[in-house]
Amino acid sequence: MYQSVLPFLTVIWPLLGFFMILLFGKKREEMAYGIAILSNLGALASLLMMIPHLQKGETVIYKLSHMFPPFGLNFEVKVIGLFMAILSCFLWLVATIYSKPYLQKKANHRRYYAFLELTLLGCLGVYLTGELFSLFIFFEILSLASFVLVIHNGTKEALEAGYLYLFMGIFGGLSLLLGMTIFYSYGDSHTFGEMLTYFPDQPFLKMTTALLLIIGFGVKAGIFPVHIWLPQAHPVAPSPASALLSGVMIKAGAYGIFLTLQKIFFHDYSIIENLGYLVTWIGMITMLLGAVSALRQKDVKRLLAYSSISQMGYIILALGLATYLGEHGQLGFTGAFFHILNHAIFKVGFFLNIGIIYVKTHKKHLDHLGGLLKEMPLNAILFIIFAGGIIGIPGFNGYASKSLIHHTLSEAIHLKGGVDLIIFEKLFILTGAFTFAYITKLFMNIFLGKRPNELKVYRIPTKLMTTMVITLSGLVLAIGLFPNTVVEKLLLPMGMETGFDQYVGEVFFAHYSFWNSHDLLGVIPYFIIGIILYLAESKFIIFTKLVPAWFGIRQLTEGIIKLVSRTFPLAYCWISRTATQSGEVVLNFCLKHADKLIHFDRDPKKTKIGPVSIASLDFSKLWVAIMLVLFLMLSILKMIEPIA
Amino acid sequence: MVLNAIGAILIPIFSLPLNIWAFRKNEMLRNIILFILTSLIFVLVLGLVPAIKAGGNLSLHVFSMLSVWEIFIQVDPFGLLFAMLSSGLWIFTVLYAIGYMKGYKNQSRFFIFLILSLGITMGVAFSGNLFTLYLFYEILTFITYPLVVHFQSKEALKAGRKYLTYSLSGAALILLGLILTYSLTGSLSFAKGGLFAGNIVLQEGGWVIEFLFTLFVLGFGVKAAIMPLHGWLPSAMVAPTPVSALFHAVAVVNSGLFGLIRVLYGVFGIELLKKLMMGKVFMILVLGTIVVGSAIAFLQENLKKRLAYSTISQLGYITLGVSLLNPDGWRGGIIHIFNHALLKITLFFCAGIIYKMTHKKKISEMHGIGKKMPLTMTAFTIATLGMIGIPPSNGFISKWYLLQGAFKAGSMLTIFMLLLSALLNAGYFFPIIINAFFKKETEDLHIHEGKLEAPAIMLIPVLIIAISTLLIGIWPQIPLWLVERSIEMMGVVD
Repeated sequence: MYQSVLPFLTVIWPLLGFFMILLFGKKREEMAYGIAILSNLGALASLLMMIPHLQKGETVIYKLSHMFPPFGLNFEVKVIGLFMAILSCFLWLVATIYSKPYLQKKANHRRYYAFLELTLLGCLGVYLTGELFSLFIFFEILSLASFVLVIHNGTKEALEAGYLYLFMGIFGGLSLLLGMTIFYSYGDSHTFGEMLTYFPDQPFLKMTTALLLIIGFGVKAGIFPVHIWLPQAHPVAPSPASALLSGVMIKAGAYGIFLTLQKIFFHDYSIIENLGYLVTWIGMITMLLGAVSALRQKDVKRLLAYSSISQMGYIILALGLATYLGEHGQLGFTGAFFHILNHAIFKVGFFLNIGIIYVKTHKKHLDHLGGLLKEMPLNAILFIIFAGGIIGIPGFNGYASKSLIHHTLSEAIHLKGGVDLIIFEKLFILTGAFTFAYITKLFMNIFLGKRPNELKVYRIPTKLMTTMVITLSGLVLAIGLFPNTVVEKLLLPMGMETGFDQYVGEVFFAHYSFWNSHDLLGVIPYFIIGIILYLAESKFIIFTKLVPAWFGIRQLTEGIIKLVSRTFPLAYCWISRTATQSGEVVLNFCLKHADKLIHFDRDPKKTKIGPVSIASLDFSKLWVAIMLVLFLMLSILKMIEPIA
Repeated sequence: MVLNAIGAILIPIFSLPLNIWAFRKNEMLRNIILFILTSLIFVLVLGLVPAIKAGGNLSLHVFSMLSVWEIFIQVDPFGLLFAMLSSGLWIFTVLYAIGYMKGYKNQSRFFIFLILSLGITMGVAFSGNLFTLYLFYEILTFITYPLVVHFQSKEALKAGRKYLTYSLSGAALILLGLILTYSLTGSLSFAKGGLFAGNIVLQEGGWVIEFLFTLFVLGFGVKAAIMPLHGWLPSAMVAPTPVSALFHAVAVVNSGLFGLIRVLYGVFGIELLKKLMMGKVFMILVLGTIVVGSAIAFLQENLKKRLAYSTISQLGYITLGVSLLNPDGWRGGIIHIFNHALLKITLFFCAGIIYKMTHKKKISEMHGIGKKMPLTMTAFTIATLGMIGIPPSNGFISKWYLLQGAFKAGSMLTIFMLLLSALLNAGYFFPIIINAFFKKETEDLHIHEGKLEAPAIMLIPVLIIAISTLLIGIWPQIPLWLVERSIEMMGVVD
């Protein structure tokens, strides 16, 4: 345990940035931009300063017990949290630097940068806290602040997507809150590992709580079936914000699911296996559904958003398998976090790269793009590098993590058996093939093919933007070429703080090289099936035609939401209106007759006596009158005292 | 120290001649007197805090005619919470009203009654027995009537009449309950653990107690706007906005809730309440209020009407917390009186500013208004977050305790309703904000150059309260302390 103000400082930097931008960013956009980068750097520096303490095996803690009583705001930084925080903060910096040339002519820089910083605050806070309550607070900040980024453009499309995002976010928050309520009703043990100490031994209640938390986090992570907001919301934001939403913020949800599975419920043998199995299913459905839907998209950014859902499916699948395997799940955990790292880098890269194309052409629909290879060769090369990552070609980063997840699946088949897992493995390969197909579709439609006549390429300086993308592509290659180093230096130490049997991982990695023939050849089916799928889609439009529109489940859910949201208020309204009306009928009846009683000498010609009689009172006299009445009342009471 | 309480009640009432003279004379003088008076009352109330902290129980028999009909002033934590809240918000209301009422007729009458009702509200807060409570509660209705009908339009008079009818009918039920209580126990004073708790026969419940409970709930329920009795509240929206704020946040509905809670723990006692059949009925009524109130708010086009129905729903939270009958529920309910007051007063002030500056009432006309009034709409946004219960706003604290209470009471329906209501709240508040900030301005707004922000005297109170809701959400120690002490005093235990 090491008491240090550093974690608190980390979240204070963006907060400071937020207020400073709001105060000073109005006049000059450079000011807002500068403050945003500075506060981002500040946060990154304070994160990096925590590394030496963690290397010594300490946990950095900081408690602000006077805030949010009775729980307080508790920071507790461990290796996994710090890894996630540094990854987020670094990519944030990249996207922030990229933002200025991208936003060039669009209005309201101040709001954009301010909320970028506020979202960073939420994002970092989630990773640095050691307790569910504090985490929840940051999670809500993340949810709401990022909403402003989603609807930044203010178009009709953006507003619609924003509403869906907001309501799903609030729904997730409520689900999380309910889960927390159940926890905190049974005693006050705070840290994740101790949360089950006082929990009653009822598997059903535990399962419910776990599911509430998973749904709550899952909304952010885009898991099936609460992913519906994601393909709407991610594409409408400005590209750097989309990159962060899709590449970085989405991971906060995955981190939450990891906490639920492997920190809170891991040592509870009554439910953990079932829970792991369930999450495996969710992950599987999410990754396949996301990949199939991605192939059907025409909008570049929407395609990438669906791809994010699919890639999150990989991560959730790995986490689920790790939980399902219990103590032998070390490999799944490593694969999941490796893929979190990889996906964050290549997905941010994809979005930023697409952003450059968008800035130059103002087009993001696949039908309007094409034949850009000659004009933008550098972007094409960068695209191929990221594509290598996402498909999992050896030498690029995605290969390593996907191989690990594949190995986890094989291990699960070996240890647990079952037809379902064998089918999962086939589906896993199929998803890889779909990934290849949709990325190929993207490449063919943007860079190759016939160039539409109306497509113009504007000459806009994009040096700074390109530099950022090149940095990311360099990371993709670096991780891809030296995956063993990453595993040894980063992922195995991270595994130390989980409940897995470390021996499993050590034994596995002792004789494992990522460059073995089995894994290398395992990539070939992706290509073969992928090309078939791509041709099926591009020549015969099979997936767009065959799969009905409601397949994305979005339409179905929206239908239900519409039905509920329209019927219920109407029904309530009708009931209450009837109730009120009948009440008023009675009331009017009474009033009418009360009038008759009081005004017995009224003019028969006047059918109704208005309330004028009360209103015409002189109000300065009313007070005197009331006092008189009271006095009278009291004296009468005084008089009857002997009788009482 | 109890003199502070007496002073807080009497100073506004006895300054009446001075007010009548001064308010008509000079506007500046009036404003100064208003500010001094309200601040003085607030300081007097704050002066009671050390005594409560020391654990003393301050009380004073002012005078009594019979052994029953006594005016009994008592200061306890719960009363102090209400008094602090009301007198504190009164300062802001008065400041805001000075700005808002500029250009309207009959300002003197308005402010005279505004100050008078402050004293009466303090009386409600510091009443030490059922009779005193009833007395001040009844007077409050009359004193606030002129404020409702201030514009003297046909609609206003109709609303005022509705208000009087509803409130007086409620008061009649309370009076009946009062008489019944006296005939059963021979006393009207609040007792720890309940007046009925000392009586072995009454402790068992029975139909008399059920009937009495119904009387009190319906009686106080009028001002607390429990659903079938809420009709007066939305129609009272015709009043000037400071009055709406006063009704919804500062004094009137709060006095209903305050009276209800006082009677529930002071007369019935928690143990007895747990046995009552009507308690369940009450709870269902309240749950209905929460959801139906929110659902109707959804359909309102008029901003103030929407806020009014939101109040009805939010007051349901408070009565719900109380009807859960466990410490967490009460904690959530009582702290929500405080939190809701701060949030709702902000919302009403913002609605008032929008009306005053642009004469817009309908939500659909407010597109893009956030670009012209960024500060006002920011305050509105902050208050909205609290209404939905999103941290770090203070509304989250109420929701947290309410959920805890509901879970401990084992009521899944309650939990579901609370969450549903939060979603509905988001559903009817967020579109206002999003349209205000992100949609294009309407024509008339677009033509207007520069900002449209209200004068400082209206804007500053709004901003102070809005920011304080966030600060209280992060550091809720002071209200929580009073709530804890109140609960201790009321004898609510698991």
